[in-house]
Amino acid sequence: MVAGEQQAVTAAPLLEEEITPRRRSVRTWLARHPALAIFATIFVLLLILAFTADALVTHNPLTTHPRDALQGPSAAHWLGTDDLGRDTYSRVIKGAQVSLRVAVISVAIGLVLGVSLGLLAGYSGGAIDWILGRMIDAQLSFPGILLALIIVAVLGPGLKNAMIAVGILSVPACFRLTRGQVLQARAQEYVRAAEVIGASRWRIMFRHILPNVANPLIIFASIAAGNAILAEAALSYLGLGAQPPTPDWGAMIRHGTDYLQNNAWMAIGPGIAIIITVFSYFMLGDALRDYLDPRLKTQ
Amino acid sequence: MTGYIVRRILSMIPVAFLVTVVLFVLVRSIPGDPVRVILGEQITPETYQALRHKLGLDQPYPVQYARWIVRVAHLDFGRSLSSGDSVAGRIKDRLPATLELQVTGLIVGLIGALAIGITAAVFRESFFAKCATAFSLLFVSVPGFLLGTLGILLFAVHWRIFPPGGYTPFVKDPGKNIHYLILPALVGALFHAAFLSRFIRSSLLETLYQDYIRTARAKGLGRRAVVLRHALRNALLPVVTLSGLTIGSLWEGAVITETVFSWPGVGRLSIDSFASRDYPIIEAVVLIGAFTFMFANLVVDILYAYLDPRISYGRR
Repeated sequence: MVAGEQQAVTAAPLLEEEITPRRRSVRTWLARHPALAIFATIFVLLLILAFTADALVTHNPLTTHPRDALQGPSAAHWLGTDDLGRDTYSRVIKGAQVSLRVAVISVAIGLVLGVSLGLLAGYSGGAIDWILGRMIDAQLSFPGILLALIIVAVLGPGLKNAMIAVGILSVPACFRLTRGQVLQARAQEYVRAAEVIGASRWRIMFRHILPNVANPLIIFASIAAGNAILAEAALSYLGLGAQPPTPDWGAMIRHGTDYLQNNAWMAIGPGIAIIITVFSYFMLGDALRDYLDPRLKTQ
Repeated sequence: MTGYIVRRILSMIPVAFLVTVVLFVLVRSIPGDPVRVILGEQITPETYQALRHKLGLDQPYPVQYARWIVRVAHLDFGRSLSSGDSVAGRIKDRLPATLELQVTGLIVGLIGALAIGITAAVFRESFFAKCATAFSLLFVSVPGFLLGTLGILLFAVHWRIFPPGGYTPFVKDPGKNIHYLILPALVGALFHAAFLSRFIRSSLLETLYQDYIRTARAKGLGRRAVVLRHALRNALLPVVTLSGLTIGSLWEGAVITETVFSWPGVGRLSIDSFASRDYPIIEAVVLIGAFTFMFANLVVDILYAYLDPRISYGRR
């Protein structure tokens, strides 16, 4: 950004006519899509936070200092310390890494399974569509959190298995979205054309239809990421997700509830982190919807 | 209409079959041998084999599945591994507490959602409408357990207005029962209000721009009459569908809120059963949850077809 500006300043006398319109267009774009600009920025900041967490922590998030246990916020410990004397701020920051991993991996599982099954069902139709549709109906009938708990019970508690369970929870929504989009796309001329020139079924599904249903999937991914973080936090809160000493926000809140009277920041710190993260994923999804598909714009 | 209902019920059969098969397979894949859980220390090869035979666990899986289905059809969910009590009895004991909490939360939440949704749609440019949108977006981003924890922190630890958790049956002490109920019910209500008010608002907004609304206004009807008598009736149709999905989230709410507030309901029972590996209870709770969801959506679909004559329920 800074480098670009410097360049613009030095080159200004020569290229003024070319640069000004572009700058204006950036400004118009920002003015037209303020929500997208704001929440995309927050999203990028969260990414940077997760990748640079190790540099941003003030203490080792895992080392215990029993002597400093349960301190309130201070200059040394911005959000105080937990019952083992670990720095809550550092654990919250490190937790951003965990939450990003949850978002990426769970949503990836949901997308890969949901999109491929949805493509298959929507494009094949007939018996395959019917069978897959009933399987998705069956999954949706299960109370989500209980299904996730059973999956984790089968696979064993832990962050990795919690992410798998949460990913599976997001499959039905992704399946239905993809299938609906494919049904629409199938009736389009370009799919007919591809069929006529003899393109294979797989080629049509992945090369022709998939790119055209990508926009709704991008919106889905953003909202699913927020849901994934909520679901994983709930599993960890119930003790079946991330195991100690992993600095996971849900697990930290559970742990903090035992010390609400002594030091509420143990629960409030990670709580605020979850709210900000999930809220910005949801809002980014909303803003992307308005940007990518103005027809759906909520009034 | 009868034909539609029959076909809709028939369409549930394959889904119900898949639900039972998946649940059966999943629960049997959970590591740990139920026979060992029951026998504990007193295990010998003879007692082990005898109990395995008695529980039917020495039979092939299809036979076990068929026997299980027949028992479940008679509402016999077997016996708890940890206490030996009947699972159906355990759930029946816990059900009133869960229903009390969830129904109160849903009703309060729905009233709040209607109030917020209608006001935000009618006065759509107002400051209130903007606050309402922010409220609903913010509260759907707050995990239920965090909302509960913050509620306990403020109302129980800080101000000491409500107890941090616990339960007294209504028949024993109504006053105390309600005192315990308010905080957890409010947490559920806030979630439902946030979730439902968005849909009510957008659905009503869409309706308010229809021609028949303009006609009603043009013939001189007051704003209140038009919104409440003409627009709301139609706007609530999509919300009926949504209420079917809400039934699913009630179980979710039960698990989380009951854990946070030590509320002795079915949700808490299922979490405790995961800890004690009491599989028959888990199996029963999940099955009941799945079937209530399916039946709720059956009722919603029929209701929807009944309310909206545009839906064709004749032969296609």
